[in-house]
Amino acid sequence: MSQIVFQLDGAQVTAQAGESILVVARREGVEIPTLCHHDDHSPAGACLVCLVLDRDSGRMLPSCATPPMEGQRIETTGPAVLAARRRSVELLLGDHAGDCEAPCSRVCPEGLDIPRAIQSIQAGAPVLSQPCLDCAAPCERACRRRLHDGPVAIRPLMLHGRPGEAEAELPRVRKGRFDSRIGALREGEIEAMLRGASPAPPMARGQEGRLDPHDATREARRCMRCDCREKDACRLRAAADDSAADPRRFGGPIRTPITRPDAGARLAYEPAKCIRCGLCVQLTATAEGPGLALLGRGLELAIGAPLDTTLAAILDPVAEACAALCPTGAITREDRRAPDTMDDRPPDPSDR
Amino acid sequence: MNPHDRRAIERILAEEEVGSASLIPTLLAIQEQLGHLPPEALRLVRAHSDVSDARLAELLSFYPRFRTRPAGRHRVQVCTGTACYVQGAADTLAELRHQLGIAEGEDTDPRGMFTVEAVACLGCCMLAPVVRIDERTYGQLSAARVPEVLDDFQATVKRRATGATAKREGRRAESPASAELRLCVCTSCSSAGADALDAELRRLIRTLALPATVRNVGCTGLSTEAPVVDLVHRGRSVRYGRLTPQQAKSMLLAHLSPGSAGARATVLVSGMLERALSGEPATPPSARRLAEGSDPRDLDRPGQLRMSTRHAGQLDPLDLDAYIASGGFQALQRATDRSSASEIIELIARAGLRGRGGAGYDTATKWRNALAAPPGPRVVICNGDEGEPGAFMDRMILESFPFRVLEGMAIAAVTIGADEGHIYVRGEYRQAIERLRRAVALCAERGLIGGHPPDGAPRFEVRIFEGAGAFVCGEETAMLEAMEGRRGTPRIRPPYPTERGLRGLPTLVNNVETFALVPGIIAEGPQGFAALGTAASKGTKTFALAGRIARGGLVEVPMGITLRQVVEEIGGGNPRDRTLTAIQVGGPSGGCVPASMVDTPVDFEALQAAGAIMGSGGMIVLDDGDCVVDLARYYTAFARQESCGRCSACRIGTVRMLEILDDICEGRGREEQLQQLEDLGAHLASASRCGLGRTAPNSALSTLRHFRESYLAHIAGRCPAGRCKGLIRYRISERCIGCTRCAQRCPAQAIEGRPHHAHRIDEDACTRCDICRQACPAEAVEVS
Repeated sequence: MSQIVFQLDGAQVTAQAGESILVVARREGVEIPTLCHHDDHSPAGACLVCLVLDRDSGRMLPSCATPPMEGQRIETTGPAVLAARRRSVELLLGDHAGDCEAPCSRVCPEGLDIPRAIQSIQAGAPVLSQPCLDCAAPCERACRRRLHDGPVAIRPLMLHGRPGEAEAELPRVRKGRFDSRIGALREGEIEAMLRGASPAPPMARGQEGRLDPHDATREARRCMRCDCREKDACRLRAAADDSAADPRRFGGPIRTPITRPDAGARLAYEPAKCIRCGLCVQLTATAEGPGLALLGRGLELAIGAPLDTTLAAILDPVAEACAALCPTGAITREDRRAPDTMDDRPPDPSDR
Repeated sequence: MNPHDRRAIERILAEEEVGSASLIPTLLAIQEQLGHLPPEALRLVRAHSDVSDARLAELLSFYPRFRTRPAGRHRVQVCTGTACYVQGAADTLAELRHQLGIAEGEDTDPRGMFTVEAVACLGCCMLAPVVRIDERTYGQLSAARVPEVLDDFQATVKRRATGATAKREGRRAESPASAELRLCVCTSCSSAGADALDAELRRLIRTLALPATVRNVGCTGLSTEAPVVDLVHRGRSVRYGRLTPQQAKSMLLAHLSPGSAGARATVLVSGMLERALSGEPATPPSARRLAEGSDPRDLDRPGQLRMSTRHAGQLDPLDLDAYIASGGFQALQRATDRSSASEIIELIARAGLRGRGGAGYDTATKWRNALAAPPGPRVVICNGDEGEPGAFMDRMILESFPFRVLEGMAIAAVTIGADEGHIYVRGEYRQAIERLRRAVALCAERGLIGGHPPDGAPRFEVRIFEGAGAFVCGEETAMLEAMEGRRGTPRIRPPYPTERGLRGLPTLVNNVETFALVPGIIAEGPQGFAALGTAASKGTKTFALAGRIARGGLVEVPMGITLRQVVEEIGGGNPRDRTLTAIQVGGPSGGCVPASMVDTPVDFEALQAAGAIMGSGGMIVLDDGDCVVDLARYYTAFARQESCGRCSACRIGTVRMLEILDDICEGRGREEQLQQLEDLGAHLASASRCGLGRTAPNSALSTLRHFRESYLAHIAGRCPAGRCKGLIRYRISERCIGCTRCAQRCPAQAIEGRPHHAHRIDEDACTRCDICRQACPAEAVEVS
């Protein structure tokens, strides 16, 4: 039996042996959303966003991993299917501890994408944001770094450029999109989020007047990067938008803790955003050298480095490919400069 | 690592090429040697194989049996199966940890003497709560008895160290005798003292020259009466229950007279001496006669009908001759010589046999599918990964009737043309594993299975695969993954194993009980089997009866009888004068059938309609002193812990369901959470990737359906059964006699106990462990 004939939304369609329902549907022009599926890798059947209804058993099947059976009646749309997909997204969001947009941007009356602006300041570009002149800077009150040692001096940063030298249009947050929120941090999570940010203390009061470029870069590096590096291309966010998911519906007190393990200089790894699709595991299994492993089980299932290896050693050689493959913001390209200069020393106790 | 261990590991690694398929057995063997798997050992494994680091790490983190931390000298396993849970295993566990001084987050005491683990069901449900320390099993171990048992164990260890323990009598040829003593030595009976009784019976027969032999037989299933001895003499059988070594002599002498004058004199003199020394009558409390009759079958509880457990209490599990003499291997002979594959399958189809592992899939269809696969090698696998807490049917069948299971597998192999067979057994079932290994070897010696058949017929080799934990491996595709040396993540079906199974080969997977039923159907024809039961559920089914029931244990009953008959007529009803509220059928995948529906028949579809499932046959009886909401929480916690984590529905959904049930049981529940529980349950049931996830919400959904008022009572702040710790309080009434026992035993030091004054419980410090209530001689501790 090399060909299977089955019904897709009422139409007779033909599958070749080994093809999944998803592949056939796409060939027939039927769109099914996916997160964990990738054409170059074997199906994981993990996210359950690609659910379709088997009318005969009444069950929802992950179309990416299920081959059709002869005569099966599959539905890819309708209220039940859409509700089931939305529930899958909502469950994933219920264990997704990450902000799409940073707290500072959310409260900005101008809708500025503050972390991005700060990125360019880190890279040495001067910024002068006219709207910030008359603003009470709610961004600084929202800055999460306040929980640690004090907020980033956002307003002075946004005003440190000189007229004429900073003309570029400032990045703005796209309004109306789904926006995941971490909520209250748990014990130890603020320390985890500090990884990669400069440990330097807040500027002394009165020092914020007009920052010189050196001080601006230095202060910019204190940003913890609360927003998601993948916010424009994240497939989980897109799925949440498409299904009008309610992130709080299946939220609960138990969730994957926020950590930022070292994944080498080129990548940022945030396990609390991982949907456990295992694509990175598949990628590294075929690459040279040791591969990643899926460790633990249940909610504690996570990717990790086996035995004597490290994440950094495994991921560094495949950094670009891995960041591109990850469907969410769990593994992304690190776009910050490493805080390694003398300016970024932690506070000297003798200063106090 | 010391050189001795290193050499031992190298020997293990040299025994067989370490590839994927042998990875789990190899790691288990090494762990057996070292107590844990240190990094040096893992390096050796890697050096001897092409297994990747990632694969090794994945296995170690997936299977709970593997440990990378050193273990204590003695291993304490606390059963957390349903029956044990209901009887307070959590308190026993806490008290053990407290007594041994094990710190939070650790599992071993600071001196490295004891490692305490919570384990999945040990399969001795009628002795709940059960704890195993090394090879010794302790039953009815309530929290209050923990110090006593630890003392007992340490005394045993000391005796052993000084070499004072009597060696168990070896089996030896005994004189032709007129009486036979049939003694069950299954895991339950052993825990209840069958080994000591066995030794004493043999000693008495020898010293008194009694005309009798002792035979170890397959389990009668009467775990509440363990140890059970049947005395067969002059055509009559008498069954004794809870027989102690002290009672053995009077029991024997009631039936038999000593064989020589000298022995007679000994009996007389020792009787007089005992009387003189103790001042008590020579006869100790007389042994309990349970039943007698002219046929061994008369000894069974009425209502039972034995097919998979035929000859229970009669045949030695490892006596191949006796098995053959009782008709064993005739069915295989018939299948080999006279029947074509389609004829055999036709017999199975006409019998109406459906899989006994849970879902009740039609066995003939499965065999047909395996037969229809393209030509080439095929595999037969017996699924003995009975992970369901509260169920021990498979353990009992494997321990007591290993040849029947092997014969059933061999018939399947002949039918579908397989020459490779495996039995996947839970690692906790030590005795089953040992007996199966022995049974396979015995069959091979005769050329019945494996070995060298005289007629040069194709060999069907059976190997035993020991599981490394993980409930999900009972799912057939997860089991295949484990056998191929990977994490037990269920595969998405189709393809079904009959099409692509172990190593891609067409594979027939059936449950232990299913295989055990096959020889009877083939040998005697399908009519008898098909005549029993309902329209769609034929034959018999074994159940592990436990919980609030007078006579629990393992029973086999015809399909179609009602749950009421099982519980009342066979089980003897409630032992403590309370009202039956529900029968939990099917374990974590099953549900609670309420008292109002106890006339539901034993039938796959009827049980499902009642909100439960047949499952593999765990049956826990609950009364109004048991909390159904707490039981739903228990099973949901089990599912959450056993979820492989691969799909979003089960990984996150079980956590959310458990959070809600925790809230409700601890007095934080809100009514709208019930709707959320139903929503989540519906999603898991329809969208999860495998059977574990799809049935995980059943316990919550079925109790919500039948016991909504109990949920609402919890939300209103009251646990009707008085069990949920967040909703109850302990106080000491005026009946207190001021004996201070409770205060001495309280692990939280929450009782102010001045001698001869009424004691008082500090509610803030109280952990509701129930030890004070158990310790009080005056029943002065009240729960409200």
